Amino acid sequence: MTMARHPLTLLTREVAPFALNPASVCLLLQDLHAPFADPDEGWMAARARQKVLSREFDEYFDTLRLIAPNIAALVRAFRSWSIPVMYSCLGRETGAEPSRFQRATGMDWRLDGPDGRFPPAWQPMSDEPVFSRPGWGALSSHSLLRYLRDAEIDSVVVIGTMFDFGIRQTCVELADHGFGSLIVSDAVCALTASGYAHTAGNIAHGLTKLRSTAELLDLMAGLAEHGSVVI
Amino acid sequence: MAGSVNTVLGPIHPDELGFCLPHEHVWCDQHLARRPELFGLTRSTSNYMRLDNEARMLDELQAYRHAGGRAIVEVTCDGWGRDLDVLARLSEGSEVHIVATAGFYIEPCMPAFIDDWSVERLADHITREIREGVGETGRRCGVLKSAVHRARVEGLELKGLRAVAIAQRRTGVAITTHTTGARRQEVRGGTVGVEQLAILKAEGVDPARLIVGHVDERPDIDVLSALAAEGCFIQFDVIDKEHYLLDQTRAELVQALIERGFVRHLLLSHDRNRDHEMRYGGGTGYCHLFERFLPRLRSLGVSDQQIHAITVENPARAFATSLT
Repeated sequence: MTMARHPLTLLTREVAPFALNPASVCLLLQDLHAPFADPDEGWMAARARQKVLSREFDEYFDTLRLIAPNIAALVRAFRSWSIPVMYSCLGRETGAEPSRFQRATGMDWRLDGPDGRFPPAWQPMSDEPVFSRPGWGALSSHSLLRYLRDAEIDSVVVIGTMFDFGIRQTCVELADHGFGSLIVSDAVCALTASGYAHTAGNIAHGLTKLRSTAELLDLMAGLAEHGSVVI
Repeated sequence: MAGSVNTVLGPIHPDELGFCLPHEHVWCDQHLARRPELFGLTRSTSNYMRLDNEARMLDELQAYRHAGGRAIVEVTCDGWGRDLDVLARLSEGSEVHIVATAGFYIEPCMPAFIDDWSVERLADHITREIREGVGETGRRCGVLKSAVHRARVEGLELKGLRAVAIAQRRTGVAITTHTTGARRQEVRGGTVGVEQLAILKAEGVDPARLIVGHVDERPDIDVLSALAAEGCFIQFDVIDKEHYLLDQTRAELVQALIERGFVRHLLLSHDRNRDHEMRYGGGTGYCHLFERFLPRLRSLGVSDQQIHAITVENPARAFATSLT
């Protein structure tokens, strides 16, 4: 893994404790729908192939394959504790106008068609909400923000793609709105290895916790005894 | 093939050119740039382009010759260290044909006279460098260059391009271009070649005399196909610089363009310009194509005949003129 210097984190405060309490925490799967997560027919893979640029995205899809079992394991674990699992997907519903972001980038997907599909390993259950959103950050969806508030959730575990774009932005937005966030470091996927290293270091400047899948699953095992765990 | 190619040691028949790297530096120093402040924060002085050790460069050229190379187009323009006498000594010592360049590099490196001279006077000046020789050396340039450091063709760089267009029509030599501005990520498809082509066509230049360079920094295969369909050469000339693009991607793009019928429009080079890229600095120097990239093309099914077309026949056609 590429190493990077992160001098800002030498000056900023430690990240505040994160309470893993089933009553007030949720698991957010970001951009794990077809455009980002289907390595064959998804928008990113297909467009790269069309432009003869597939090799440029090998790091991304190789990492996605590597983290897929962790994503599936985390979804299973959170469901087993009846902790809310929710999905945030860049795209729009039928009838909604494309956002300025979507127009500017060309990443304008209709989520009621093939672009809204998920891999079977983390297919949403019928009672798990899927929020479409107009920009990189998950809270650009006002519905998601309202859902978190209504459900009295104060802490969000974030996994998915792309660490150096949408997930980074989501964690900043969560902090702005007073939510704690924890990124599962081996259940997120950056566009490149150097992008991962840069983001992983800088996102820790007081805003978000970083833990591995194994660490988080170990901590969740403590829920049975303690009811909640502070990280 | 009719015509000749101007080298620093005199004109040669295009068939004598042989395996040719069409976009390299052998002798240059960006510390001589007149307006380095225009680089902004895109590079530090420690990262300026510079090759200035004659003995080492002779070794590099001899290694290239030993690997099978026969010619290099040296694309350093007046304004940042072009020296045709040095190039002539290196050519004699290495037995590598060297083609020197007239015209203009990016604005920070342009010579002072471009501010004051008219387009016509600039055209006269570079026409003389093609027809008669540079200064008092009697050594002639064999290609014209135009460059941008902005995201589009404007200002002095547009003035230079117009002068180059006039000189091209007079002399028939090819125009080779630098197409990526300093704010590279903003430039769609990594090339302003389409804009350069439109300006040059309006000035009466035949697209077949245009070599669009640096297309492999941020390539868009549809843009490249359109340029080739117009008749231009499209030059993959930053091979081995994987901070822009992986060489494997470059190879797959070359293969795809061959499949689209553009083998006669492709050129390959490295754009060497810093010590660390050369063999003495730990790099592969002018031999990277031989040692790494051409084997990669072959592994994708590109034939030796196609490689010969790209590395020998296409340069001969590109750099041939009717000048004698």
